[in-house]
Amino acid sequence: MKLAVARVLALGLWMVVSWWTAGVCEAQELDSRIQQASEAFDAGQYERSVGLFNEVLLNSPDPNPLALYNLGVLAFKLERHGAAIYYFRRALGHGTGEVAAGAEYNLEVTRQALLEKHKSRIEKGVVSYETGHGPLYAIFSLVPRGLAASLLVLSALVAFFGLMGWTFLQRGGVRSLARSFFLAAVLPLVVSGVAFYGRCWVDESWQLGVVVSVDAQLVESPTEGATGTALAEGLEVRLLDASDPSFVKIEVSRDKTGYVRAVDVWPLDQPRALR
Amino acid sequence: MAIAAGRHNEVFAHREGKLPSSAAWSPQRSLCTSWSTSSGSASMGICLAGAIALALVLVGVVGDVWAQRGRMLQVEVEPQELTLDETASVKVVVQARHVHLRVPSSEDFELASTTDMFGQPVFCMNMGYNVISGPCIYTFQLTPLKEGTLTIPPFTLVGDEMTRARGQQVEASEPVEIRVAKGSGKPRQKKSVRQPRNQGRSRAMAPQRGQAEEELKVPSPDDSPLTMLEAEQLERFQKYDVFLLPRFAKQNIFVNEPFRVDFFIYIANNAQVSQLQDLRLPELDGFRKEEVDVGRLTPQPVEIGERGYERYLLARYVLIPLKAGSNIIKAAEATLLINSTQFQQFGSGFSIQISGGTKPMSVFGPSLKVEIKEAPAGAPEGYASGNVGRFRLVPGPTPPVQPAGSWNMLRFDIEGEGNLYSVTPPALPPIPDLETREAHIDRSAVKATASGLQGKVTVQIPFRVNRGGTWTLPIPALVYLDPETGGYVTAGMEPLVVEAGAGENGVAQSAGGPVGQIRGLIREGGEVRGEWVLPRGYATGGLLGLLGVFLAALGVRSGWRAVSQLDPERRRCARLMKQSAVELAEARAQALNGDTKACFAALGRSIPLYLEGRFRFSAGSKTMDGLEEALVESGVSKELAGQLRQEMESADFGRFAPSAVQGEDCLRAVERTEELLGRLRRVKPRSRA
Repeated sequence: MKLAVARVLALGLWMVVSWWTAGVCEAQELDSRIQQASEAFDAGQYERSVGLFNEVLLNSPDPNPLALYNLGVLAFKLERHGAAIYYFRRALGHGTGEVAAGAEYNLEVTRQALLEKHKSRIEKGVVSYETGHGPLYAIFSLVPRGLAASLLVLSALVAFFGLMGWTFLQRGGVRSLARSFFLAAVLPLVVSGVAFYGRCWVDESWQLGVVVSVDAQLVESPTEGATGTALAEGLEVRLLDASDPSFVKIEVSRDKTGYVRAVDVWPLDQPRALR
Repeated sequence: MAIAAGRHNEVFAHREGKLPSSAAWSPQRSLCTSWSTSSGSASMGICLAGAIALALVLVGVVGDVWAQRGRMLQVEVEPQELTLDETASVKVVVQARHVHLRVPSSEDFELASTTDMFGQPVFCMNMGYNVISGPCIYTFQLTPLKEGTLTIPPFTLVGDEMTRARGQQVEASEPVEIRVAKGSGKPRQKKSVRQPRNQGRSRAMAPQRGQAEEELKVPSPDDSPLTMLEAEQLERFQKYDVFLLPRFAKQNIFVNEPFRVDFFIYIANNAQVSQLQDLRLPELDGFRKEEVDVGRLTPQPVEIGERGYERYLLARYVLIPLKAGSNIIKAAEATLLINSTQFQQFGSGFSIQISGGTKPMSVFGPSLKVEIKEAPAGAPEGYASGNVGRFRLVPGPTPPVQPAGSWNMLRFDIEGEGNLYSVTPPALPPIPDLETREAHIDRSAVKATASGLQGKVTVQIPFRVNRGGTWTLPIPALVYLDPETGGYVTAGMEPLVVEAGAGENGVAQSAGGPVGQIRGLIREGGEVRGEWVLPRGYATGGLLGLLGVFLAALGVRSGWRAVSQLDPERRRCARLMKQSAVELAEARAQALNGDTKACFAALGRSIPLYLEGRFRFSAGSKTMDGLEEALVESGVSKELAGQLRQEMESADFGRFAPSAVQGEDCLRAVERTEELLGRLRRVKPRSRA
């Protein structure tokens, strides 16, 4: 009996150590690849650097902000400005500190470069960077989801305990205090609730993507060879239906929808390798 | 006016020899003879009378001159009797400084100025804008509109902005009456009047014969183009009375070399030109042109052959030929208003104006053929076709010390004279670890002047170095073509020394760097943002859970209350306590009504009811001592029990001796009882033995 228990314990210990060791080794391997990719970048071997950062990005369990940021830099160097927008946007969403600050700066620089790059097309009215996802998206995307959730939880707890005290305590100072807390928490509870659920609705309903191709076309039907209007490189669009592997239905603005080839638009919630 | 006309007549008549000859009349000899030889009173009287007459004449003349000299404004109208078909001449003489002349208007006649020469009154010694410095002579053409005796209102002078009498009238002329007779219906013409020579003109030469606008000789627009050398030979133009002529500042012109060209109009002294109405200069195709302001039109007397002209500078350009070869500058054209006044000259003394009016007339200049030369062959390396002139490189301020990897600005100027609009600044040569961007070239300080294009071109080159230290930046030489010598010249500048501080990997790190340069790779860090993301389901579940807890608690309380109502003893006790509260309220009401007996009676009922409901013993069946003992046994403190007993005894006393207490005493007893019952509520009852 004791031997059986010992075997079970040993097996469990072995599993835990193996899991921990695998995680550590995987992290070290990713760090090594990032180092190699940086050295390749310094040597001017951009293609090799891109490949290594792609490996880091695709093999990381979570979106790797460092790989996203550096791929953005490489995409900019390779004049893939649309892809650079995609990587910097994701790096900004997932990264912190220096990575987030650098991504934000580079995002603006890349946008300026795009405007300069397509200046003649913009002046001729061929492409436009004007997008609009509607007023609801604009309003609910203002408040960070974490902040709205925190406010909601806090105000809900205050309102709950205030209501309990107001209801169940006998007459006295504590009961009056509880009533005040409840009344004070009602309005924040409603506002934070609207902000939180609105942001949840926006996050679930608006799947965004970035046009990464220079010659992307917005066509009326998902058929090969169809011609349509040109889409601006680096433009952020709403993905309405991404189930088709060949074409994605997108919304550029509220009154402008159509289809675009799936390879021309990269969803911002999915990893994409720089080719 | 009459005196003046008489004096003129006398002078003119004398010049024409219509008076007695000098042999017949010699006052000097007559007087001398009389003084020396006369001995009779007749001779003496004649001599005295003559002397007096002469003195009177002299006094009159001097007085008239003095009177005329002192007047600021004189108006003369000639003639003062005319018909509706004729016009009269009005001469206004102004002798004043810093005044404006105001011309009267009337419905009886029209006054049109005929004295302007390119918009300027003649005879004015010093003209400012709208300011008369005097003396100035204006002439107007008066056209009567109706017959009868017409009155010309006074001309007035008002002070200008430079005087204290600003805007105020300082002088006015006398009204002048003219008589207008019915016309014959023929076309209107100016009344012929005698005028002194050169009236209204300051030219040296007087008209020698009648000269109407039809007789003015001007160049034909179809004349074949002249070369620049031929155009310089002004004698070929002396056959014309009026002509336009462009004149070039130089003859040998290279392509891209700025040169000046002036457009003049020449007007012979005897040409009756009233006003320049329009000017159309040629398009100057094949040239870049920059206009130079020439200011006011100022006459310059010139002699061409034996003829006198007045030359006016109409326009001035700095031209830059854009291509080599032969260029034709087409003829310029001007529209002039020509006086149709005709003068008749009598001998060399005076003339008579026999007709008047103005008419437009087109005047042309010759078209010119300009030969533009190519730049000489064998241009050295670095020469750009626009580098024509005389230039020098001037270093700008030393760039500030910046960390390596940060953008800095290198500045130098190209100064001199020449084609500064097209000069190509030298570029920095490729230097390892030095990166440059497109230079910004500022040519706003280049001005077109009378001597050509002058000024400076400021060149600013953004650069950055990828390592710290001292950098020596060699500025390449500027190669240009000197049009004066026809040779190529190289202008150099000392190398610029730039300091760069230590940077980080040669990559611009500051967010304030120029847009267009992204930040470089990041090699370490990159933590994933640990943002707490609350799923919507969890949030909804939590909120519903809290609501459920509250509702459950509410239900538990209600249930507990319902269950409690099932025990008969508990219900009885609750009823007793409720009756106690009712009695206490009754006691308070009676106290307020002043019925102390009823108040204490209700108070005496309230306390036992409460004690029975709260502690479940009958207070009415116990003595005060027994009641106090029972209370202590039920967990009430002795002090509180004693106070309660005291209140019960007070209630009994008040009920049986109501006259001994007042309503306020009962009210205070009620308040004390409420306080005691409140303290009893917080006592946890203890089961008695």
